[in-house]
Amino acid sequence: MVIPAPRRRWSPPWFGAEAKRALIAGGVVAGTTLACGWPYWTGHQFAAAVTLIACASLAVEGALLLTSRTRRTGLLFLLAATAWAVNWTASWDAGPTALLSVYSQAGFYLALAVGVLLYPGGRLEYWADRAWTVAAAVVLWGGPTAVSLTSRPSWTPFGAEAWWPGFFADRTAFHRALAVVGVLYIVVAVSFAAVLLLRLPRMAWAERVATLPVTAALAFVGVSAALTQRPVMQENIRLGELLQVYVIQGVVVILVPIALLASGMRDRFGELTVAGRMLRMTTPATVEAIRDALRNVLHDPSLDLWFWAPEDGSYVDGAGRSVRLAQEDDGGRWRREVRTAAGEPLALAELGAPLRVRSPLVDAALKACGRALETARLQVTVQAGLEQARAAYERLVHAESQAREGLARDLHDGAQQRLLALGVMLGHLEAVAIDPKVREYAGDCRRELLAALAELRALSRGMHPALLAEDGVGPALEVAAERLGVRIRLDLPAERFPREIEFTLYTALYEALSHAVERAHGSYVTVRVRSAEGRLVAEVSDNGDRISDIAPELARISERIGVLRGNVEVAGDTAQGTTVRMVLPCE
Amino acid sequence: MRVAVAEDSGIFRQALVTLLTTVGVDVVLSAASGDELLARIPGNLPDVVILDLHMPPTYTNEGMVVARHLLEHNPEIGVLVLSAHNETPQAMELFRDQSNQSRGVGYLLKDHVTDVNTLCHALERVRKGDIVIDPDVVSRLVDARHRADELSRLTEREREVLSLMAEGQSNAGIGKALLLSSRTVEDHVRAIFTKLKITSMGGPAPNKRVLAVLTWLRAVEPR
Repeated sequence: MVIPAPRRRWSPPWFGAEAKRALIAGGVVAGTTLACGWPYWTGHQFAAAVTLIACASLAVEGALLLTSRTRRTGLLFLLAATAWAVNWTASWDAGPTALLSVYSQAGFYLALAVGVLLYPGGRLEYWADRAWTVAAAVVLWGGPTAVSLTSRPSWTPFGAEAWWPGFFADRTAFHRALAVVGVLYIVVAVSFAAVLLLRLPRMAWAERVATLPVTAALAFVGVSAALTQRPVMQENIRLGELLQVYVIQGVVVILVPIALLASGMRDRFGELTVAGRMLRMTTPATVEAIRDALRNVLHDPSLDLWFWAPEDGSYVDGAGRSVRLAQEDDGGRWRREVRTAAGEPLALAELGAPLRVRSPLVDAALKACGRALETARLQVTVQAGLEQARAAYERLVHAESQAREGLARDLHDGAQQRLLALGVMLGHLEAVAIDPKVREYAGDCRRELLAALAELRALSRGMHPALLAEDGVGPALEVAAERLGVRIRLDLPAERFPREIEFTLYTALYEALSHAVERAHGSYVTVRVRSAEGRLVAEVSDNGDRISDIAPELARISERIGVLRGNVEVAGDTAQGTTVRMVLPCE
Repeated sequence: MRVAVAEDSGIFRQALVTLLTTVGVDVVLSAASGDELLARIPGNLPDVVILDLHMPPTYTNEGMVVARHLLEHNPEIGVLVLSAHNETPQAMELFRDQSNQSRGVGYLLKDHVTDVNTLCHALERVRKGDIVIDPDVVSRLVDARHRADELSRLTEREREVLSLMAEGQSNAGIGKALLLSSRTVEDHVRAIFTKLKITSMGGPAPNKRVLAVLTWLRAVEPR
C-alpha cells in the first residue's frame, strides 16, 4: 500500500467522479419525480419537497453503491428510486398511469428489499433470502394483478377512463382480493423483517457491522409500508387519500439512505480511530503484537501475517521460516500487500473473505502499523538469518552422522573381517605347527592381532556404534551401560527414527549416562524416551550424588540438541539424583 | 562331527573351513548367506551349524533369524552364532526361549574362533546340547556388577565359578577349568546362589541354571 503524496486540488477531496455521477443520478430522479407527480405537487409543495429529497437521496445512495461489490445493490436502489418516481404518475390519473403506478409501487418495494438482501456481499447467500425473494415477487406483482382483474376503475381511486383490465369485475371477488392481498402484504413485510434478523447471526463481524443499520431501517420501512397500505385497500378510496399514503411511504423510505449514511460514517470513524488503536497495541513492535492487534482491531482471529525477506525473495513467517503461499481466493481468504514508503514489498496480510467489504478499514489498520511492521521485519530478518544458520548446522550434523556411520561400517565390515580371517589363519598355523617355537610365535601373533582388533573396534564404536545402526538406540545404550558398569532401565519406543536423530539421541543419552556414572557415581539409571507430536522427550535419571551445577558439564549435549532445535534441562529437585531432560523435535 | 557354515565374508569363511578341516571336523556345507544354508541343509544334515550374525541383506540379525528357524524345524541340530561384536541384547535374544529345552545353542565372538581349542570345545558342547556363552559377554556383565559392588559378597573364587556358570559350563567343566573337585564346585555354586539370592535353582535342565545366572546379571533392579 503506497501512501500517496498529497496533490493540490481545487474541489473538495470527496468530490470525485463517483460523487459527480451520484449527484447527476439524484438530479435525474428528482426531475422525474417532479414530472411524474406534477398534478399533485402543484397543490402540495411540502409533500413535493420531502418526496423529491427522499427519491433523490435514494438515487444518490444507489449511485454511490455502484462500486465493485455493492454494485447490484446500487443498481437496485437506482431502480427503486426510479420506480418510486414513476409511481407518482398516479397523480395524472389518465390512461395507463394508474396501472403504471400500481406496478411501479410493487417494483419499488421489491427492488429495495432485494437490494438490501444483496448488501453487502452482492449475492443472495442464504436459502431464506432466496425463498423470500421469490415469494415477495409473487405477492407484490400478483396482488395488484388480482385486484385489477376483479375490479372496475371506478371502484378504485382512479378515474373511470383509466386503463384497467377488469376482466372478472365482481364486487365480492374484489373485496375478497383486497382483504387477502392486504393480509399478504403484512405477511411479506413481517417475514422480510424475520429474514433480515435471521441473516445477522450467520454473518461475520465485518458484514454484520455493515448491514445492521440498513437492516433495521428497512425492516421498519417494510412493516410501515404494509400497515399504511392497508387503509387504502378498500373500495371507493379517493385518489387524494392514496397519494397521501404515498407521501408517507416515500418519507419513510428516506430512512434507508440515512441508515447507509450512518454506517458509512461509522466506517470512516472506525478507519480514523483504528490508527490510534493500532499504535497503542503495537508497542513494543513484535510480530505477535502486530498480528494480535490486527486480529483484534479487524475482528478476524484467522488473520495471518508474513514478511517479505528480500534476501530469500519470498515471504517468511514470524520465526523467519520461508512460507509457500497457496493460490489466493480459495477457501474464502484474501490478501493485502503492505509496501514500504519506497514502494518495496514489506508484508502480506491474509484475512477472511468477509473483511473484503471493509477493505478501507483493513487498509487503514495496515497503514497505521506500517512503522511497526518495518521494525518487526527487522526482527524477522534476524530470525531468518538464524534460521538459515541453524539449517546449515542441521545439514552438517546430518552429514557428519552419515560420514561417521559410513566410516564405522567400512572399518567394521572391511578391515575387521580381514583381520579376523587373518586371526583364524594364525590359529590354523598354531594348530598345525609341529615346531613348538613356531606354535608359540603364531599364538603371540594371534593375540597381538586380537588386541589390535579390539582397539579398532573401540575406535569404530566411538565414531558410530554398529549396534546403533543395526538395532537402534535401546540395544546400543544397553551395551554402553554394561561397558560403564551401571544398571539401566530402558523405556524406549520400539519405532526407529531418522539417522541423525538417533545418533544425536544416542550421543546425548550416552553423555548423560556416563556423566551419571562417572561424576555422580550413580549405580542405577533410568532412561525414558517418549515420542509425541513430532517431539522426542528423553529423560535420564540417576540415583547418584547431586551435583550443584552440572550445566557446564552437559554443554556438549545442549549444543548438539540445540542444533536440531531441541533443548536440555536439568531437574534436580528430587531428593536424590539428577534428571536430565532433553527435548528433540523430530518430524 | 559334521558342521555347516554360513558366513558372508568369503575370506573369513575360507579360513574357518580350512581350520575346521585341519582339526578333523567334517564341513558338510559352506554357504554365503542364511537363505543359501537353509536351502541346502536338507541334503547335508550337520550336527552343528555355525552362523554369522550379520549377513546380507540387512546385516542386522539374519543369523538370529536362521537360528530361530533351525531351532524350530530341526531340533536335532545345534546352533552356534558368531558375531564380530560383543552384543549382549542379541545374545540374550538367542537364549530367550531356551530355559525348558536342552538344545545346543551358543554365542561366540569371532575373536575366540581364532583359538582352535575354544572353537572345538564350543562345538563339542553345542552338539551335546549345552548352552555356550562367550566369556567376553559374561565378563562384561560380571565386571559391570562387580564395579557396582554388587558382587562384593562373593569371594574371588566364587566370582570365577559364577562366570563359568554364566558361560554355560557344567559343574564338571568348572571343576576342570579351575582344577577343583566336583564337591568343592557344588559348594561354591550353592554359596553363590544363596549369597546372590538367585531363586531359580538348576533342576533337571542344566540350561536353566545358566539362564538364571544371566538373568540375575542383567537384571535392571539391583538385589
